[in-house]
Amino acid sequence: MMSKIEEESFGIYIHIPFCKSKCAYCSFVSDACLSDCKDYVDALIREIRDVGGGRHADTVYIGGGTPSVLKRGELKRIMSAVRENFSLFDNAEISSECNPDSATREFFDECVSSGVNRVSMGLQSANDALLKKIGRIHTFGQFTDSVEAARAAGLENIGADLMLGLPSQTEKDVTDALRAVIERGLKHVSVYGLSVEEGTPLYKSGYEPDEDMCADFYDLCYETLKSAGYHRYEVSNFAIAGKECRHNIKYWTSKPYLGFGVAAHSFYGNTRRENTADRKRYMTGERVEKITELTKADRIEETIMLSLRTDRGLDLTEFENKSGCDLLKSKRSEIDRLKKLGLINIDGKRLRLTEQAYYKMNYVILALL
Amino acid sequence: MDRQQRIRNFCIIAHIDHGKSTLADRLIENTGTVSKRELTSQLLDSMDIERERGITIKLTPVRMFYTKDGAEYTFNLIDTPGHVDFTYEVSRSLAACEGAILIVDSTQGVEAQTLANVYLAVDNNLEVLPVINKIDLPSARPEETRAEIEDVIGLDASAAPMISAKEGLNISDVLDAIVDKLPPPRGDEKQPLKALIFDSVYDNYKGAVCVIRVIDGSVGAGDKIRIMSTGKEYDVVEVGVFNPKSLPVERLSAGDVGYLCASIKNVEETAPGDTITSAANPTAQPCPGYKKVQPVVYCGIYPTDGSKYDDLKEALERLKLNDASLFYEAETSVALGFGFRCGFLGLLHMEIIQERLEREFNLDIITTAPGVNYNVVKTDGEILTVTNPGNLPPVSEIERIEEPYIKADIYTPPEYIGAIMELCTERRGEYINLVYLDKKRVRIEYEIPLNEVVYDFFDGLKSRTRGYASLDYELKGYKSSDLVKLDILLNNEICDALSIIVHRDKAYNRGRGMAEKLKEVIPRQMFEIPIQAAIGGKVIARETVKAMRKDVLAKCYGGDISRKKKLLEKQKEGKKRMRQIGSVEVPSEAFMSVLKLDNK
Repeated sequence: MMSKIEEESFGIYIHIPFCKSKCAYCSFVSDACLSDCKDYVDALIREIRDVGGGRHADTVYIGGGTPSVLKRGELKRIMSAVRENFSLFDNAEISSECNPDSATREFFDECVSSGVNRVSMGLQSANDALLKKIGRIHTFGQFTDSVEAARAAGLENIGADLMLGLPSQTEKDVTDALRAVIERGLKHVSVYGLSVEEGTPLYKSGYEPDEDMCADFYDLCYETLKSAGYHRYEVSNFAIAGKECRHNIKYWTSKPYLGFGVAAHSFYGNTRRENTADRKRYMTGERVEKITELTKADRIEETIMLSLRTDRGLDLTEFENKSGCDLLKSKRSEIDRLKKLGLINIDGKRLRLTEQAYYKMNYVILALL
Repeated sequence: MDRQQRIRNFCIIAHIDHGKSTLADRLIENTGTVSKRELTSQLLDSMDIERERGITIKLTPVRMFYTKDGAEYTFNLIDTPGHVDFTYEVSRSLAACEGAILIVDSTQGVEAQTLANVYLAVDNNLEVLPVINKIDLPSARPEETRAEIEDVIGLDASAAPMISAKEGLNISDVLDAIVDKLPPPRGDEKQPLKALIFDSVYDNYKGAVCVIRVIDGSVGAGDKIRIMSTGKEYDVVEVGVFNPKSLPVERLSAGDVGYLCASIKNVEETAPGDTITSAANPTAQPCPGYKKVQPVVYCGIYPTDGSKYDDLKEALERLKLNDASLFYEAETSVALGFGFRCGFLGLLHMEIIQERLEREFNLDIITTAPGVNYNVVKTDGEILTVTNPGNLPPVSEIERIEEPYIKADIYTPPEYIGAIMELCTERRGEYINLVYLDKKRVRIEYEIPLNEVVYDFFDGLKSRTRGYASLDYELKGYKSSDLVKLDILLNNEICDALSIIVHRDKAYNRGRGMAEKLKEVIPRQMFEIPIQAAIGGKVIARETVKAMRKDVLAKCYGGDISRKKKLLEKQKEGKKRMRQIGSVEVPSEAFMSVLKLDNK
């Protein structure tokens, strides 16, 4: 394909489009048709086989949907296919998402035997009433059981996802959820502001999270996690040093990744590729839905949009080398204005958001485009 | 039979929704003027905006042929605008007719607006032919409606056609009645030419095309004509009729309705109500009732994107070609840069022009608060005419300010007298008179400052009387008033484009209302923005737009960044609609939103 790209190692994303039930806010491709599970994994394996070609890979991320609802044995089949068709680094980061209601000891045992060395749990909230309200089918108790089960299976690198801006969520709810992950010594916390997507039950209910509430909760998370030793390496992601998710970092630093499964996305060379969201079609081998060749302007926009999300910020020298555009010159007045507003700082050749600007980064991005 | 005996010139009058356009379509179709296939629904309303709003602005007459008892008759159907802004145009097109068809919806009965229209027709000496419509509907009460027409309006309705315009039922009764009941024209072909202009449209090739009714005499290509109000003379290039597209004919004679082209450069020279006569043999008396139409409402129009100034200028030039009542001149604003001060017949006219600029010319525009012409008498005796609040001299130099008043005649059923008087009082109206025209109809007369009327007075009247009241008004003259300039400060800087001239007693409420509204429409920004309303240096209201706290894109799950990009694109588009006013970004719709406050 592209010889230059061959030298780089890929991230691999694998989409498991199954859930026991759909959450009220979810607009991702997933459903409860578990009877298709084996056929779907067969199709996944065919795609992995067709694309793999022995390429180097150093991260794998199994997401969904809910990977933990897979029938036992399927995860192992998927990972075997990955190993057979890619040259997977020994120290590769291999993550799997899971939901507390289905993340049992058996699931984690299969994770470990398949080489999964990082798990991420969809906790969202530690308040059972709130969980129920947003259509989550697990309880806080199940989460604590899952964490113990993962540890017992030998997994150390455990993370959790939390959500902010849920209907009637209180400050105490947020504090409780933070305490739950900190006390259990989880290594990684993702904090996502609820975005109400069209077509979801939540959208139909007319609910709209309050801006000030979300911002207050976010600030609370930042302060609490910081004092507990987690650092923010991306706007929504906090980790104990060294436990940042290497796979996700690829997304924000425009590194190549290959997505497998329905609605999976890939990026390599100058191309973004999107698989069909129709599982039936995917299973018949009609995989690719859309291929976008990026223009120079696209690349510039993406680089600014993605890199500013991270604590690394935008490397101005690298940016100039790649795009031929000296941002300090072309956007001088905007950069001065943003500096005056206290939203960015430039240290050496890196442009970064200030601490207080993370949650308002679109303003900065738009000013720099 | 005499030629004029076989002509009928008429219009259709009706309360809104009673089926005026549908009947017009049916008449056109039944006379075979336009085949059914060609007939787009509601043919007469040709502009998109007209069709959407269900109102008629431009008056396109349609000629039809109808044979009765072996004689072929020519019908000229003249449409009339349906809004108070265009009252003068209505009266001019009525003056071109001998008769009017009055449609009454048999499910609704006679309504107040019907009455107002009938009186307008009667004032213009038209014979009124009542037609009872919508008899196909289950809720139709045709006999009661007939009785109502006789009792309430006092018209003989015993032979009124009972029709369903929608279903095409009994349309021939209407066509027969037009012949039998409506009088033919009675002009004199041998007299010098006298033709009434009741509309004119601009054509790229022909220049101003006058839509005329020949009263006396005749006119044809090659004649030298004179327009009586200006005395200007032209050579006629073409005359014709509307068939319904224009069709040239040799001559138009007394009683005829048609068009006339004479290489006239613009429609300003062919104003509705003016009279065309022969240059060689002029008529002694022009058609009565001509007046020069003056704009009554003014506002600033600016391009949202300052670089589109020339496009806006060109668009206004184009619109002006076809609309003599549109006025504009260049002006500048500290906040908005280069734009135009524009004058209109009324608020609807203003909205139509704005909409056309946006739709037909694809322009993003910002409109400032509508206002009227004020006379400012300065301490040194100098008198200024001010429409733009920004041009008001400093308070210390003002001796007094005078504002225009209108005399309003409001026609209504008696049960709404209270509501109307309340509205008029709120709008600083001075009561003049109340006359019972009959037991179901009252005329309330007020003198009201025009400034108060241009702010959705008409809408207020309609909503408080469930649409029953109608308004007719004329400018009355100027009176001295306690007027002040109300400024809006955004982040402590005056935004001149938001300043208005307002009566002192109303300034507080207006200021508070504007500040509240602006708080709603101005998005949160990187810093807190105080919004203040002030008179002179004195702040009378304050609101605050809190600083923005959250403006971040959702996570990019599984490496899908397409959603993010889309959102970012959307934000980029939104940013384009923002206008930088000092340090504050103001969406262009903010300027319009503060105008719509007075619904209370």
